[in-house]
Amino acid sequence: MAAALATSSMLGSAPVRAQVTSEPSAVVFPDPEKFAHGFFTEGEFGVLWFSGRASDEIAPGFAVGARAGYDIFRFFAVQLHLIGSTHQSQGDTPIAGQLLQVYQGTAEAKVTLRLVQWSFFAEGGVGAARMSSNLLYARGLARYRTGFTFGGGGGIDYHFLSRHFSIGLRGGFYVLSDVTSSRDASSTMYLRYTF
Amino acid sequence: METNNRAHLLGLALIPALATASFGCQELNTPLYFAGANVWAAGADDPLPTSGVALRFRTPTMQEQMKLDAERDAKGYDMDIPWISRDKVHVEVSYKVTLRCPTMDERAQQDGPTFDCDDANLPNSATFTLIVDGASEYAKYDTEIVSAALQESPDDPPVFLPLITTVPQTLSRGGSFSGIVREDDFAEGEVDLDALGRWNDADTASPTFAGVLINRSEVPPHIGMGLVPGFSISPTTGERLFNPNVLVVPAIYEVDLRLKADAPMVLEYFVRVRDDDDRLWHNDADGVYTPSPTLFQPPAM
Repeated sequence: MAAALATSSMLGSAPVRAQVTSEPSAVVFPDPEKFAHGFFTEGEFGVLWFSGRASDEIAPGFAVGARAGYDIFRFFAVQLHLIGSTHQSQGDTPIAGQLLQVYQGTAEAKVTLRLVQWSFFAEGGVGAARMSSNLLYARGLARYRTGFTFGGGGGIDYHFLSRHFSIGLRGGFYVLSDVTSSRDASSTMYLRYTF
Repeated sequence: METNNRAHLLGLALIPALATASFGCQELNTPLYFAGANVWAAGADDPLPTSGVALRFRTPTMQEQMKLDAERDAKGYDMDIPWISRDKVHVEVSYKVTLRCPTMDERAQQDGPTFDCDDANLPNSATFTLIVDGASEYAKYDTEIVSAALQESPDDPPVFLPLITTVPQTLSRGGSFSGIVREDDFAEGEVDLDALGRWNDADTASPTFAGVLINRSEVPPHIGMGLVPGFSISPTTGERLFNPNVLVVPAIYEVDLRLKADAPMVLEYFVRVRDDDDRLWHNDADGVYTPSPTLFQPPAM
């Protein structure tokens, strides 16, 4: 009986209310500081096309690629990039309609400007490009199947509320030094995961 | 935490998955292309204008030669297993024929066309046929030689029995036709050439060499394949049985094209080769394989 009265007395006491004693600080939501940074990987797909003399011979094609890199700072990263694309030869030649794959590997540096969930970046690097066949050699445009390449590009990135994932759109432009007067350009969408 | 680990694994999986996808494609299509010299036909040419590409292969290593010998023993072959074989080397020709006169630049080139040609006098349409001959490491076939052998008198019109031929095409003035002599066509030509070369049946009761060329080898009754291993005779029914597993066919390494045309035309072409075992010669340190095929001569000669 005494215990019941004691309980009743506690429940019947005045309720406790939280009190705001100062104005809340202005928190940016989401907080980019909480986005993961460091080692990251990306997978991409899109289109790759040639400009210059090679564009007369080779049609644009589907491209798929991957990147792995490390954010040294939030605004600066280094990365390795591999991209492969498949094309068809074109033009008024006997070998129009043949398939050709192009593989490119580059070491790149990247600078980023972040605005909350959005970021804008520019990147560039050097590497090598390899053709799956000697088709361009047969057309008198390239002496070797593997050659030096350099160039760069940029894009826009959107970070999800997840700490790790973001998606983006990028474009690139690379000089193919061993293909006569030719460059290649790409436009891809990517998914990025930062560990 | 578990979700985080799963996401990490997904991120890690991106790299090998995409790298494998892109580099896996490389194995699907690794042909090499060899440009042939243009062939100019003036129209009704005799002999037919011709051009060819001879592919160069490296010599087999001692280990590879031992492997070929072991294969020969395993199959119980009377002859050598070819180094340039049809199951390892796949040939195709992409070509384009145009009905037109040569330009001044083309005439000025070394070995350029020299025949008279006036654009105004070109016919409105004309027909052409592409004739494909060639050589394996054992035998060589030349349509012109065979045609000369078959000609009974100099006034007879030539009869052409090519190793491989295309369907005649008619072109309009200035028009062109692009086509492919496919790997399948070469595969048939290669077994025919081997039947005429290494496995020629001299028995007069056997079908003539024309029967070998005209008929498809794998279709019963396998005309002219009498002595070719892989075309055995059933002991019970007497029928000829086709066993492709026993068949070892040398590939054509020298491709010779002839343009038979009614009017001035030019043939442009590329030989496309898929070389499964990297047997084409491309390293100076390797020796060049030098086959010496025997020219096929029909029995009439």
